[in-house]
Amino acid sequence: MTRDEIAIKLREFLVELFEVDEQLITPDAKLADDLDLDSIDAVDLIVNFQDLIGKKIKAEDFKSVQTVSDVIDQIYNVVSK
Amino acid sequence: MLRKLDWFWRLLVTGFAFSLFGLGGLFMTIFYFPILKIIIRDKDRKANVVQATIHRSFGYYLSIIEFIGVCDITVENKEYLKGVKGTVIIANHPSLLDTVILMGQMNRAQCIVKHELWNNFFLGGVMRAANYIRNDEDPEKLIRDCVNVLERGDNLIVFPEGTRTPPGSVLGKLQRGVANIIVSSTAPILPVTIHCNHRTLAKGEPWYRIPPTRLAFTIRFSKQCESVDLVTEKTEHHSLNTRRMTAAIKHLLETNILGEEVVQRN
Repeated sequence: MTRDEIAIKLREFLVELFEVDEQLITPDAKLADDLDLDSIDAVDLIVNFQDLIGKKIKAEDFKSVQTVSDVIDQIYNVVSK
Repeated sequence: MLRKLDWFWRLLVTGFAFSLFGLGGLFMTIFYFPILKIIIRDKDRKANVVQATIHRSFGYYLSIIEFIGVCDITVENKEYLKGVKGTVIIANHPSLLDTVILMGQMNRAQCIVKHELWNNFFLGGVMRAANYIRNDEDPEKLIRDCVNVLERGDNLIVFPEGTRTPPGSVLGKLQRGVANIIVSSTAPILPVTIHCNHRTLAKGEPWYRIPPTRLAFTIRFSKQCESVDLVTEKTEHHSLNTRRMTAAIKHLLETNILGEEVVQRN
């Protein structure tokens, strides 16, 4: 999976599962402040990516995640490992 | 002159009311809970006794502060509380006294408390003994703990705004925690609206800035209802279900609050 593919999938999840306004999704958008995701949503998002890539994602790796591009980085790390 | 006297008296008794609350908590921490710990070994039974004690002490406390003239408290539809258990009590949060007032009305009620209070010199001991749910827990554990409380048959008081209502607004932005709890359990809900005539117990107001007239609270309980009735369309996604549920709760609370104001104006 490339970074672009991850970005597209993330956008899809955010819009369809978390009802985020698509226009708000930029690389620097903060998940909590700008996109109104709470901590349970973050867990939910990880689970969705886990199902997609078929690999386990550690919750600790996601602790430092704040922005949309952070998510893409972390998922890409797991995928390319 | 009389007005000034009234103001001074209320300042005095308000100070007394704040001190009484803190000292009461401290007294329980130092004397009552340690003794209870020795007498009752069984953890669940102890929790029940502690809850009953808090319920009764808050009841007495409210009677005292009403008697000395700090505030008036009107409770409407209290009969709706009869036999209610394992229910999520959902309320707006205009003042510092809301939790005390609600706990004074119902026994076996748990609530989620901000973690700072665990280290509070006066109230920390009460928080620990009552086994309230800390708000800084791991979010999944927090939801699980809340569901367990409900399944045990205790009621859970939740202020979905997560903090006190900003002065001047009907209802602050709702957190989705309460929807998470409801969606994750089969617990019914019981909405409550709290109305307070002044803002002096809102967040950030010091105790000595007392209102121009006596505080008056109106607490109105609504009928218990099943949460599944609130949201007609259920999806397979938890994230969407909690969003729908949050919107439904917001609508329900706002309707109740505004309905109340319309009634009070007439």
